[in-house]
Amino acid sequence: MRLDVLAAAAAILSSPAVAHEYWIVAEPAYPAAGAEIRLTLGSGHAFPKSEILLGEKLLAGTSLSGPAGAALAYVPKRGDAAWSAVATPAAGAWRAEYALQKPLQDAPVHRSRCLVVSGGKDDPAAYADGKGIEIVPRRAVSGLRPGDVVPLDLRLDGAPAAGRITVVAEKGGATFLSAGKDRPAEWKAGAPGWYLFGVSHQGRTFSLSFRVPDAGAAP
Amino acid sequence: MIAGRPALLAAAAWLAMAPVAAPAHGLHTAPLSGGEGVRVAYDDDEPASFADVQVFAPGGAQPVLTGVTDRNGCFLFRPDTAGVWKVSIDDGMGHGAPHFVTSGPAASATAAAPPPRRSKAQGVVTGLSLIFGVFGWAAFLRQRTKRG
Repeated sequence: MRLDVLAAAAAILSSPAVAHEYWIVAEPAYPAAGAEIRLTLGSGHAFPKSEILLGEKLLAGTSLSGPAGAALAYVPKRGDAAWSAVATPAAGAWRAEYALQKPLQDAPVHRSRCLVVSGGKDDPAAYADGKGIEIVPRRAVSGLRPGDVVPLDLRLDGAPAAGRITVVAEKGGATFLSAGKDRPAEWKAGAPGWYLFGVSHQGRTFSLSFRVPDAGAAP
Repeated sequence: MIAGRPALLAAAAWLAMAPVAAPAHGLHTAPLSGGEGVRVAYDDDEPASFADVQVFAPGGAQPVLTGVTDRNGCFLFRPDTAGVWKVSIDDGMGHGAPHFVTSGPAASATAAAPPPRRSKAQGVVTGLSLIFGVFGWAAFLRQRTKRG
């Protein structure tokens, strides 16, 4: 009985923490080399379905960063509840990103990142850029299967950091992970689909999304 | 030489008038006090700086004024009619809030203003009270059933 009460209280009190997220997703997340992808910049309460159109004046840092320092700029177009863009990344692991930055501020208040692996050439070393707060998977995400354990590093300007990571699944539900400076958080991959990982540090937030591939999908 | 004189005179007249015309469209400023203001902040009291603001006159469906909060999350305007003015704030990141300002002798309009929102702390206390209330009743009924 006591456990039931605690569980109910925890569920109710923790729900506001995951009530509002920002993200970017790419479809497909694992395209063939040179194939077109659609990036969607979203926000809302039902990841990955966007409900909130982000303010145009806040959008910054829209880019795709790829292997060997390759960079692709993309220009998002306004939709009903999300911004979207089309890009054609070459083979390799890419970071699709955008930031939210207020006028007259020297740093963004939020940064969203999505991992895109084109042509099956995955590379976890390309998952981070060493700027600000980041969540960085240690293993290749394109080869994940449900049940796999993924170590997730929390880094601040490239250095190990400690904190709490929020995980939101496409199928619903949210969990929390804890990372220390000397140990990564460990996340057990769920069913195929999108997952959103979020962290906050001194009023600035970061989110990372990637997809657990569908069964039988080519890596 | 004589034929060019009218043109010279016209040019001289234009030059003489031009400086007079410029101040006629100038602006002047004067100090102003009063007005209505709103400060917008997040739950942690960080100011919602540079958030979009729309001001609706009493009964109006279209904004009569648009602007942004300043770096401290403040916005001021000066109502020119009595009634309840709606100030709508949107930070562009999915956070929004209405604020109502009653201007002038508008007792009936004051009644139309919505009740104040509960604070987050009040919400948490209410939530906890509900949880313990529900489970308390459940425990009570369970004990009662056992005794019966």
